[in-house]
Amino acid sequence: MTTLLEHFIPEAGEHLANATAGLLKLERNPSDEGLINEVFRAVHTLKGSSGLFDVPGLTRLVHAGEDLLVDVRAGRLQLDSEIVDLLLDSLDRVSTWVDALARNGKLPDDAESVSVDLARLLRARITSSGAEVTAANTVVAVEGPPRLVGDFPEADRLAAFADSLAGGPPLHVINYQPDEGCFYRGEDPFNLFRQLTGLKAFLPVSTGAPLSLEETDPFRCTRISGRLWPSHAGNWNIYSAM
Amino acid sequence: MTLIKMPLAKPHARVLVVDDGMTMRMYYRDVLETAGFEVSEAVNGLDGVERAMAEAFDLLVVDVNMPKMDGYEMIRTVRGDADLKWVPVLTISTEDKEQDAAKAYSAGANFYMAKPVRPEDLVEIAHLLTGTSAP
Repeated sequence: MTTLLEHFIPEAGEHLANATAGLLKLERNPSDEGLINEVFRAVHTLKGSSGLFDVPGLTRLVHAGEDLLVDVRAGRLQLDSEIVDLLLDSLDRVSTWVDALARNGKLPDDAESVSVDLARLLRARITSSGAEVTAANTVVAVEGPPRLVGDFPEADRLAAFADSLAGGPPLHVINYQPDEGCFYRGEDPFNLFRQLTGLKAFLPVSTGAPLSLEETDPFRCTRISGRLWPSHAGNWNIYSAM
Repeated sequence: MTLIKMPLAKPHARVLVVDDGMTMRMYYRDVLETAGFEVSEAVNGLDGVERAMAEAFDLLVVDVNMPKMDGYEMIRTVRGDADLKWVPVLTISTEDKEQDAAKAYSAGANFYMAKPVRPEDLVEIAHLLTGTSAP
């Protein structure tokens, strides 16, 4: 067993115990915000750590539980005994998986299918479907084939489309334009771009007319405006301060 | 895109890892120490602020959802402190939603990553933010 896994197992046990104890108390007092937060944090931290290991079933189930608790915490979903039971069942299952990890270094063979079923049950109770209102200063996802797609080099476009058609993830275009003062907030647009996974093409676009060297202020971000073409929208950690 | 390698300004950059998850702290420590960083740990935002005020760090790696003081509040506190306001901050959150990144940046983070973070990405960003380079 790796050292990291040795640390994960007792920590996971602690989070599971805390979440379970919190849920049992919530059953009697379903609107206790402090308790809801406690349960959420335990599940949330467990999900974060589980991502370090190759235990997709466990992460999937904990993630579904966390998403449900997000709704509860936001007041969009009222806890009832049915939901609490569902969460307790899921935590119980995760506990047995953690035990299996400790014994065999891997999840039981049926973990994958069980996690899919349980996660589906949990997600069926989620009302918001995760569709939160996005703030004004976030990525603008353009639907349909926008005009700027034509600005990308032909070869890049064809390669990206071919990937997508061959069963790859759908294509997205992002129009990202940092504001002039972004450097002062420690933002680095090029670093953001580098973070995008599956980036197919990147097209920097100048804003406004070119300036002479004398007119250029290196502390103002006026020259960088990017149009990105990543192949999937899974984990974009990008934001623009427009 | 070509990455400009910076000179090795600080051979032993000191990193403070702030996360309430012990396994996560352990992971960051393993990855960063292997890459030559000196690593200290704090267990929540409040602990993080206290440690950052007591010792000099070249980089703060901050989780978002923590008890006592969350990551956003910790970053705002750090940015409001005359001695700490210039310390680079890397936020690593379990959330991968855009608004989470936006919150981190507006709190004053220099960079945002979503868990799980690959070791090579963490090391690269840590080098970039501390102005060091791989040996």
